[in-house]
Amino acid sequence: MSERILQQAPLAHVSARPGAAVAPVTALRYFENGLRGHINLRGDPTDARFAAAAERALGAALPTAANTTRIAGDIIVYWLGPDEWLAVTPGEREQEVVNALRSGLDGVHSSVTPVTGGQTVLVLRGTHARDLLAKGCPFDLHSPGFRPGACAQTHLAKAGVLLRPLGDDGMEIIVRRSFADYLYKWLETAAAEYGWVHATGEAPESRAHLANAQNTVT
Amino acid sequence: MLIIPCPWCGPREQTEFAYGGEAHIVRPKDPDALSDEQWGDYVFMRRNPKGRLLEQWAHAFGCRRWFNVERDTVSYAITRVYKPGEPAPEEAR
Ligand SMILES: [Zn+2]
Repeated sequence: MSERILQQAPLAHVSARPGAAVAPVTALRYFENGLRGHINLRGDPTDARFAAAAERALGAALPTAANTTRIAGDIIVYWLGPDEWLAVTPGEREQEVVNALRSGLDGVHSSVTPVTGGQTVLVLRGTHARDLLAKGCPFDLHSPGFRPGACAQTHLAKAGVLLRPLGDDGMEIIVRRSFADYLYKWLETAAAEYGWVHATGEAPESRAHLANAQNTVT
Repeated sequence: MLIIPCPWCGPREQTEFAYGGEAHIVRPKDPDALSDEQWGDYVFMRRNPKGRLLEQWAHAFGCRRWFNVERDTVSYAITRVYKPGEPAPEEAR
């Protein structure tokens, strides 16, 4: 008899609340893309064996330019440091990607660490997404280079976050699970002047967003 | 508030960084061979100059890398950043 495991996203308790029936046009829509697979990968990108094995397992070469992302089908790879990346996969593909990385990197100086349980993905949509974050973030969210294809690690309301811009009116925020509820409350409060809608379900990740994000990858 | 240019991420605000004190302090190869005074020198004694100082910073909330900064302790002006393993600017030593 197989055992059923109940998975619950870190912000399932707020995502379950009913959304507002009427919201101002300025309102920010919030989604949690919970239950993704998060995989931390470390290694030397100048080691040809490491780079080739990572590319085979992920489906695209690792982004080696600082603070950039690369999209490979349904996997997003984020640059975290000169020898460190985060791969976010659909939840059901996590184990397969971990296995592919581990077998491909067998004997190569590297580390593959699933960190799925430790963090979650929030998405904000709305024309004031950057204005809202700017209230609690020292990073220049309006800098010209910070557009789809980029990412940045910084702090937001004192919580460490990984940001990925989704066009002019959207932002993805990856935050530690233990900070997720706190950060959600801060965002909801800080958004009072614009309006706030917690949309049910996951953020619409249309092909257009992916294409948009891919255009500017260097 | 300082704006510190991380060698990887570019200019970021000081609140993203952690301070690591004076740079280029080498751990003695054989601590057992040192007198208490020599060990005390290694652990505690720092140059504390008025003017140019080579110091360590970590981009704690960013790429999490350590690097070195040449900073003036009077004006706080940062004149150079360089990665670990890169040589210190001679004239500042
Ligand atoms: Zn950095």
